[in-house]
Amino acid sequence: MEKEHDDKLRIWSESPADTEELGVILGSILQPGDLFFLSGELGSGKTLMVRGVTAGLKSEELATSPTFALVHRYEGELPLYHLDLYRLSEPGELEPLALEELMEEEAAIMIEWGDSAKEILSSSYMEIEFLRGENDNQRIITFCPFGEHYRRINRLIYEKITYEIRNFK
Amino acid sequence: MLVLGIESSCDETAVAVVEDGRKIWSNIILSQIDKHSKFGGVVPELAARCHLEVILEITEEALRVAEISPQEIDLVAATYGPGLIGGLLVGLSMAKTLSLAWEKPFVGVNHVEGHIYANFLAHQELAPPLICLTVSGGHTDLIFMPDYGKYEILGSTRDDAAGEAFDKVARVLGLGYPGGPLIDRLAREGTPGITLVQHDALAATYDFSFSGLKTAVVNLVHRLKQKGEIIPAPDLAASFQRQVVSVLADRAFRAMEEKKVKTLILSGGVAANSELRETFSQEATKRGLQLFYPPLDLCTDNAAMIAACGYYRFQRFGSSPLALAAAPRLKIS
Repeated sequence: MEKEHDDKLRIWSESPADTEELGVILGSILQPGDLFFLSGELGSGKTLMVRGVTAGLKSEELATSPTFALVHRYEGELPLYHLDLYRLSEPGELEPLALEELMEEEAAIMIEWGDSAKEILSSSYMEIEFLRGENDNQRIITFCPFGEHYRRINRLIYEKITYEIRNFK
Repeated sequence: MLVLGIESSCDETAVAVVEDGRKIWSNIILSQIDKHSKFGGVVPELAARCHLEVILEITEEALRVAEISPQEIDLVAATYGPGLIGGLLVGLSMAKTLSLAWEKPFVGVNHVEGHIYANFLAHQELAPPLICLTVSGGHTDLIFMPDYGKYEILGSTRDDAAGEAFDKVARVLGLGYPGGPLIDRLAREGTPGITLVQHDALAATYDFSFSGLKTAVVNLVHRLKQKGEIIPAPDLAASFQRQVVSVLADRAFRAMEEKKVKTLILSGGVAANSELRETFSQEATKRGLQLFYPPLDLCTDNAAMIAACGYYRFQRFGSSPLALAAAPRLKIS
């Protein structure tokens, strides 16, 4: 794990279990209105992290892939919207999803393949990048904050992980 | 009783006329796959727009082929979930409008439940109790059906649906969309010798997980590309397909044993997979079980199954309120 000068937080996940655990930590500090974009190729761990987030939010139902339905909603300590916009080809197709309305709810939102939605939603958000590491199981997960709120979230995650570091290989 | 069924939850706009839940009078399907294939998946807004453009015409066609007038219809059934909200709204609004205009009762149908009834259309002798494995692009459910209208979900996918895994692996192998038939075809040219996932972590449950299998294919392709080696797409397709089928078979036949049920049915688009059918047929014969699967045109989304399911729902629970809302994440119950 390393903190970068521009407040990015970079975490090396050594296994799918690590990625999911990181999601659990993230879930435990989420607040209403939090907005996350997850980017990375197929199989890089995006949905797995959200699965951890639903566990961290103590949702009875754990996240599954939203690719087919586009939007899933989970009820935990905080409602969570999980979206996958891969199948959308132009911004006009976002309309029926009423993303702005989701933003007004007291819920957190995590969006995969969400580049088309970035501009219309908010200038303040967290981008989480999933990159393949040196071996098949390793992922380099970078939290890039846009806005002070998300820089604070990065400091919180950093503290939490330092505290629970023994759980991380 | 003649039921007009409407299905528009995903790719297909479909309208059918079915008698007493068993006999098809007409079954009209317009697939939007061609329009979608360039995007590598179903494009929701495009889907909604296309449904709207064609649904009137298809309804007229369904009545014309059945050679009946609207007055002869006794019940209007439509899918109200799960699926894409735009498409669901088109079919549902159409059904409610027809119900009002023709003064016939309306019933909302669960799409996943509908897939089960595709088998009832094809096999007149079929009756519960049975176990149904529904495998499609959006659903992977193992369902125990002790009686008409009664369901117990034994297992579901923890991550990707089976058909979704086919689509995504096809994407990684550069095959196109929809992935199921393309992988099925390519797999015949390869040998399933590549072990993608060593350990079945959910072996003690009836749940499924296909994400790890997908990632294993991604990893292998990535490694080979880095080394500049040729990607053995046919072998990968065959190995991937073999492992999906073996997990599905493991869950289904274990459930048959535990529930002491003699009838197994397959439904959903993935039930069209040739290796799945072959493996399940062999295993069923070996165990002295009855296996049913629908013909290809009833495997994928269609409205005849919605009409059939609507008939049985109406018999048991009566009509649905016209206020019934579309439910994109509807669960079976």
